[in-house]
Amino acid sequence: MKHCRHELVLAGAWLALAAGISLVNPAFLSLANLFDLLKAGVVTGILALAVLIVLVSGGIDISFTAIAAFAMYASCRVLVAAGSTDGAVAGMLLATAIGAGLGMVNALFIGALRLPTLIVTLGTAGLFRGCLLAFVGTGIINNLPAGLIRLSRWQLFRQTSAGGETIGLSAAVLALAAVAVGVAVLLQRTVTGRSIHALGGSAGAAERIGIRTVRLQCFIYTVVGALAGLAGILHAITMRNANPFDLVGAELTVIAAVVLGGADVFGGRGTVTGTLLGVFLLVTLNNSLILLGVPTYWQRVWIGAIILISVAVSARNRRAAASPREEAPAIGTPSQ
Amino acid sequence: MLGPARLVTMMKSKTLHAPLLALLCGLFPAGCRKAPAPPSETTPAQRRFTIATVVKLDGIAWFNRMQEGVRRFAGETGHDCFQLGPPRADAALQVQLIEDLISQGVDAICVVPFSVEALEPVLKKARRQGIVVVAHEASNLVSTDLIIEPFDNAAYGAHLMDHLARYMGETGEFAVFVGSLTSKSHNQWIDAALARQQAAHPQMKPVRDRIEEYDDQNTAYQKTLELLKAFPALKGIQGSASTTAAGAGLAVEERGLQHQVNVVGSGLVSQCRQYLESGSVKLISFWDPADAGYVMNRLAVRLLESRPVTEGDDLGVEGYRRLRRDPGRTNLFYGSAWVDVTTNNMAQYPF
Amino acid sequence: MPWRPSATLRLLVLCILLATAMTLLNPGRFLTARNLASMGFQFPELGLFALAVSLSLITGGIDLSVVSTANLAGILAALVLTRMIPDTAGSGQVLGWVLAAGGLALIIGAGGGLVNGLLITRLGVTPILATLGTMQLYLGLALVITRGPAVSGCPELFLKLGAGTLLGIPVPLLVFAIAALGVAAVLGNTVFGLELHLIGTSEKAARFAGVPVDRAIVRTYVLSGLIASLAGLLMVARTNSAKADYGASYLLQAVLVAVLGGVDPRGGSGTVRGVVLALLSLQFVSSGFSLLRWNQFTKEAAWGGLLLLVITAPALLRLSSRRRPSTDSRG
Repeated sequence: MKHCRHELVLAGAWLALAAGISLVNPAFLSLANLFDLLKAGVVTGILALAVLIVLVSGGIDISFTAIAAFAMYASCRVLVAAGSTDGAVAGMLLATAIGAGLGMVNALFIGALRLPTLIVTLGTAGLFRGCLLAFVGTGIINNLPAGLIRLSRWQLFRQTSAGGETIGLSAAVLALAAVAVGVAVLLQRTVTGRSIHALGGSAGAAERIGIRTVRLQCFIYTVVGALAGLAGILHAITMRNANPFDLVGAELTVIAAVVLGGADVFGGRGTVTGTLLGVFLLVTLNNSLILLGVPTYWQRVWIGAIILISVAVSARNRRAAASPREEAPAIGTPSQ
Repeated sequence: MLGPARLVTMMKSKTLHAPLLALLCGLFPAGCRKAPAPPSETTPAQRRFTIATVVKLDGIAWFNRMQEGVRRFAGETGHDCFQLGPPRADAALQVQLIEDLISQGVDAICVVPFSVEALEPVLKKARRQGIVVVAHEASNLVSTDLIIEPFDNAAYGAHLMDHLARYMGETGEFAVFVGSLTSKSHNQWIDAALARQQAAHPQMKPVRDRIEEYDDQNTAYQKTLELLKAFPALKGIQGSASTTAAGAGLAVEERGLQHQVNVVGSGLVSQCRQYLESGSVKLISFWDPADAGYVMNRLAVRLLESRPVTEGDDLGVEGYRRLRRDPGRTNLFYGSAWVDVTTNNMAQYPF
Repeated sequence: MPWRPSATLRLLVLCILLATAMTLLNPGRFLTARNLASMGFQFPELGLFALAVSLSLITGGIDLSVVSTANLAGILAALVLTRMIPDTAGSGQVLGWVLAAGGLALIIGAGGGLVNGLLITRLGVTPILATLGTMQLYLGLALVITRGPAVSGCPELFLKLGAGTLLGIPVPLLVFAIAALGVAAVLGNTVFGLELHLIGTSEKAARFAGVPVDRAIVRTYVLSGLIASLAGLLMVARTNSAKADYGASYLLQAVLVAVLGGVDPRGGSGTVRGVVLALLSLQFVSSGFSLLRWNQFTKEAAWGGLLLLVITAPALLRLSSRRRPSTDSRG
């Protein structure tokens, strides 16, 4: 299968990168570093899995970071205003629900009014962010409820060295693992998942075989909103504050990670494994610049060059794997 | 789908472009170049001035606090004072805002430039139209009537380094952060800090060149985690942006290294309280943005009333009780407004 | 199909409605010669970026590197203008240097576009990934060249490009008008323009029809880079400085303007007049809200809302017409 091969290439690329970095700085291979990389990938990873669902369905969403920021900030404000003392479960549920609600706004325009996904989400992204900052608030919330702080301190495999240095794996990776399994089951093992693939392959054909596309799209964008909301509250938990200016601006990088992971911007194709590999490739790249000793002034050049090399290699590989008839769509993308 | 027929009609209708663009050029004439300032028939002391304060970014804690000072001044004096800032951290948007203010015809603009160089032409334009310009955090700005700095940038950066050296016991490795490589003041602070370290604290050693954290707390956190792995003997971090202390503090606390690693930097108490309490951030330094906003507006009114500002002036606000004039520039003034905060005095600064 | 010939009319109505609303909300302040002139200086930069992005969108791709390209070109031009001109240079010599700097910027812009085009056609990288990578790369090169701080201090002659007027019209506006007419002519009157629309509509069909797809795509991105470098020159001339990260917020705004102006992000259609009208609409909102001293974040919300309004109007009409019993068999 072509998909497998692309994922193998990605895994190989990651291993090559990891080997290169460890040669320069063996500290890369420390348990602490691997834990840090996993944690750094949680929020981006969940957002990327949300984007994967949209891309497979043949759409594009760039409002997901605005939804995540809105859900994060609004839910934290509600919890603080309500004088919540714990707020761990309530915060997660509330943020996910707010995210789902905003996702439904997208669903209304895209599913019910049948409008192009990029245009709608470009509009709602501005609308959500503008409303958040103009009407909900702009100040950073530093006094998060105790339950959220407790979650941020929750670590697995925690160990403390003699010098007092503590390392541990943030429990937030459990959320990423759960979402990854959930999205994989949804896309590969359910009728809904098959329908999403069919919709992305050809909307017209999907309708002809009896898929209720309006309902399906409403489902997709609501789920994406909910996942974005969850990612938002996890970001607040990680940072121990809720800053409404955070998250927005990362949308292009997240979409790039998913596309790098092998998802087709024309829809119909993309896997959870590929997406996670794409995310961790970028996270590793971004979080090894100091270990590698790349001078600060050269970091952007370095990141740009590595992105270009890895996408060029994977594009070549996919071209070689694809039959000549499939070669053509390599340029076009409805995404932004 | 777009058929060829449709393309042809589209090509035919291209004739519409020319009139549309001609209309455009007619609609936006450069017009009256020198708008005369409204004649003031009343005596200067009675005039109510309209003063706009333009900040780097709308809505963040720092400038929300500045707005309190602007409002306080408006309330005390009755002038029409308001604050605006761009919705995203981008110099281009600040230029546009000032363009809009010029055409609106305000009496004075108080500005905290995102990028000093980028604002020169638009502020020059403002002054040509008789608008008084007062700037803050912009010691190298040319097109301005007056600059009021909270302190001398070099002294500020050096004093943070002195604190860091004290916490580190004068020895060991440290790292320095800037919000962005393009930020003038952050780089001035770090330049001065490194110069002071070489001169006065020779046993200390910077581990690498200045690290950029894009004014983002998450990036500061991730970069600090990486530093702690790359340089296990690291003993100190000096931050510049208000996001560094909180981000670095979080990383140090998570690793349980607050007894080894000392974080000092700019920051607000609200952002750093939990890390000051846990000891992962040792000291933060800042100047009160509310006072800066208040003082800028006060100076603008002074200039509008043609009353000169001189060395030693008292502006009636703590930190600006004795203005110091720069020896090289007659319109550049310094206060002495920085405040160092540790767990001992953080209760006094509830913002 | 959401975009019909009436799209231009709809945008024109929107534009006039917004201008009227802002005039009524700001009596005596919005519709003044001074404010109109101020707007005429403000929107050309964003307008050029919107034109550049529209071109790539019409082919079904996207150019995310426009702002980085502009800054890189602007920085190199600014370096020539601030470092190379001897103090003793006469005005004729200065003019020569200004032209050289402008030429260098355009070459950088075209080169940046060429790299994008080759990545997309030769290596088969999807445009979003290719231009996201070069966006970082060009920004990075700009940082390496400048080490961060702005390059400033250009000769007066060059600054006229950003602040001067010709026959009472702001020069930046003239630059934009010429570029817009040029792009309109390319899209409407040339074989190349036809090829772009065909590629955007169906690349496969275009290939089978014998369109030199790869060559046309490379040219598109070169043109996009050229327009971006023009915007870069305007930014330098307007601010008398060049900086690696100036104008970063223009990128998504440019996509917004293009899409609001009726450029179909799936490729195949889009007009310059739509983009111009969308640009004016957003500028009216932006300046009007500033005059009203409204919170600046309401601008972003309003822009998003406008986009949704413009695309929803025909969809709602279609829904209501579908509900009516009719013999129309569409849908």
